[in-house]
Amino acid sequence: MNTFLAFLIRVIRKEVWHKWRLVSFIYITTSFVFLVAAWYWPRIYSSSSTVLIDQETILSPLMRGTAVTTQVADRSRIARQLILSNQSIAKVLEADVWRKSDNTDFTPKEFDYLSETIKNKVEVESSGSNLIQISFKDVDPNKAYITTKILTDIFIRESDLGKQAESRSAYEFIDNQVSIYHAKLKNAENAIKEFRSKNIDASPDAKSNVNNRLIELKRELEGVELELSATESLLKSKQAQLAGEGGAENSSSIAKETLLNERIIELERRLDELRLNYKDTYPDIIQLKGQIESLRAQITAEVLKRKSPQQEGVPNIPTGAVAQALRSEILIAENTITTLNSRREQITNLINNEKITLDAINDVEAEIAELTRDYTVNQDMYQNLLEQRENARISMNIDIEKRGSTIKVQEPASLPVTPKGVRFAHIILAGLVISFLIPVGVVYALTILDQKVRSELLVFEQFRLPVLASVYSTETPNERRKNLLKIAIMTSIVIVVWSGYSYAVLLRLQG
Amino acid sequence: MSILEKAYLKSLSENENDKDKKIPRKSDEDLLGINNEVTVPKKNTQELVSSRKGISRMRQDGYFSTQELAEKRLIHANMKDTRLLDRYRNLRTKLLSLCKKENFITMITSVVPENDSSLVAANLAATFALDEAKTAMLIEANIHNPLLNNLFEYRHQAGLIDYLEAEKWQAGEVLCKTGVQRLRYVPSGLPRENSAEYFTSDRMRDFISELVSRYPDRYPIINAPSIMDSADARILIDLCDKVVLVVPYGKCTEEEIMHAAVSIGEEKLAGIVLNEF
Repeated sequence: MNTFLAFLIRVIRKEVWHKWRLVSFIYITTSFVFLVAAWYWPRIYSSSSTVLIDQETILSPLMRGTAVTTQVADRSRIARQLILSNQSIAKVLEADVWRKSDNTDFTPKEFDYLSETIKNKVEVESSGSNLIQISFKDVDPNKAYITTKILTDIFIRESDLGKQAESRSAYEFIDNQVSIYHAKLKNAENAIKEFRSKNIDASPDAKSNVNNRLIELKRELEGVELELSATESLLKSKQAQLAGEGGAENSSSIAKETLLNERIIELERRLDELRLNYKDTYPDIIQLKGQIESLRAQITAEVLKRKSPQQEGVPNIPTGAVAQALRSEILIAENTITTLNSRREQITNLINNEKITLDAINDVEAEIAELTRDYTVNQDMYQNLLEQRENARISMNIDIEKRGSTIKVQEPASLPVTPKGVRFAHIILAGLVISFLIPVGVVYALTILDQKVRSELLVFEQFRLPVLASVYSTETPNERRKNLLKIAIMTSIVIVVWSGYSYAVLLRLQG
Repeated sequence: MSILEKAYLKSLSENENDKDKKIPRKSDEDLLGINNEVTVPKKNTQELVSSRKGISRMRQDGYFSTQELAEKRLIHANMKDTRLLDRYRNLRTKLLSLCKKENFITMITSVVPENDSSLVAANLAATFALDEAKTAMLIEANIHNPLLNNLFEYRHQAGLIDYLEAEKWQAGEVLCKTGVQRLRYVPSGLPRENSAEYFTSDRMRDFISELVSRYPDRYPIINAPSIMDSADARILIDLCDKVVLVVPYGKCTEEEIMHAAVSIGEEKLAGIVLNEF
């Protein structure tokens, strides 16, 4: 790199020296062009104002939790559209600074031209999240200042109007919603009313009444059933009693049988005692055995005798006062049972009826619950909207009275004193530097285009030919004089150019 | 300024040169000779002494003054720009080391026609002549643009071409002395067409060998026209031992350099001299 740089510097120095006339000519021309450009370059004045804008819209806090408002994406773009509308530009053109000298109105063509000019000169940019800078550039500082001021005023007024319209539309929107919910609520109320009138049973107490009734009926049924079973058991016992009146013989026979059994038990005890001392062949034992056998035969005969009269099928209807009384009691019991049965049936029917009623009541209740739910939801929404409508009304009133305005001028436009952008001084400085660089560049470009060998290094590397020496011619005294003259001329050209620049700067400073 | 006045001034300068001549300048030369000519074939002391004696017997009047040398851009031992002097000495040394042969013939040619190669030839010859033990002979073979004639002030002098054309001329007659010590010059002669035919003649070869063999330490240098421009240069290549190619700054392309180098041939090409780089 250093080698290349050294080569570059050497080549440029040599070429500038050789082509000094061309270099001088280009230098003078470039310097002159820059000087003229600097002299005639228009002074552009820029006036700017900063407007503070609350990013939140009026609708968003109002509708928070209820609805989501659309976000304003690019505030400065909207501001630009607002400022550069034809109405705004028409207002700007009404200002004195823009008026024509003969005070006539602008033709549509002129208006279009001026409108485009203004649009090109206006800059609207957002600096920070809620600051908008409006600036206007012009050669006339007063024009720049007045135009910026008017545009800022227009922007603020239009924004205020916009906000009023916005809050009004927000109020109107909520009001509209309120009326819609009101209608819905009314419909729900009517639906409930109609249903209730259709289902009178479906009073809130109906269900508990039915339940109570059902419990009562069930209790009654249980009582009837208890009474029925008691009467039935009484009937059975009376019937048994009536049957027991014809069995007097039987009881004596049983008593006899009992006696015989006791005798047998005594004889067997005695037999056991005898067997302790004697064999079975002992006469007392044989006798006792015989006695026991005969007694057992007597018991068998007695049992047979007792059972025989029934087998014979002889009716044994008891008669007498007790039997009569029993019979009448049995009759009464049977009547009672019949009565109780019919009553039980009646109660069962009633219970079934009550169950059907209960099912119907449940259906109605489900329907009413649904209707009531709609009603409640609508009612809640309606209540909320009513509150928000009142908020919106207040916001709208605040905007109308301009008390809650969140758009204000942070920094008002001012009359610019110093010109902005590329200025005389900049061009002069650029001219001083660039007028040196351009001839050097041209000379170097010519060298490149020329394609002639100028680099020692190239000869070494490219051709691989032995380089015996690198020589040069000494300058003759005559040449030395010429060279000195050349340096003097070049220096004086630079001095003349710089003097010209200094003179221009001096003139400019003096105005 | 009238001719008379010029003549008077010249006679004055010649007188000054006569004075200069007396000032011994040996020490410098000896030192440099030792320093620079390491690779040169060594001569024994006896030879060196006899050579110097022979040379010192040469007629040495009418030398250029320092001012004249400066005006002619010729190098000399007392010049202020020692850097350039050293470069020419190095060039001489390299040539001596390249060619083992005594009295080898060097041809100077340029890639493209330009004036400065003649000056390189003259200065190279002057560098050879700096050494008191050596003499140089410069032959102007650039018939169409004989710049050396002007330099050594032999504008209308019969020279090389006249010798080659007419047999009445002796080699010694066209050999002129110059304003530089120990440097002899053969002017081109009067301008002619078709000079190439003369260079191919045996007489040209004889001429050079005769002049060269006159003194043992005489280094002939032929200033040829540009190799790209003239056929003369190509013909002359055959006659000489080494060719030095002068590459001027910013005047020739890479292709031209390659072309010239190829034309000369690897065997004859001693190397290139960069001029004004």
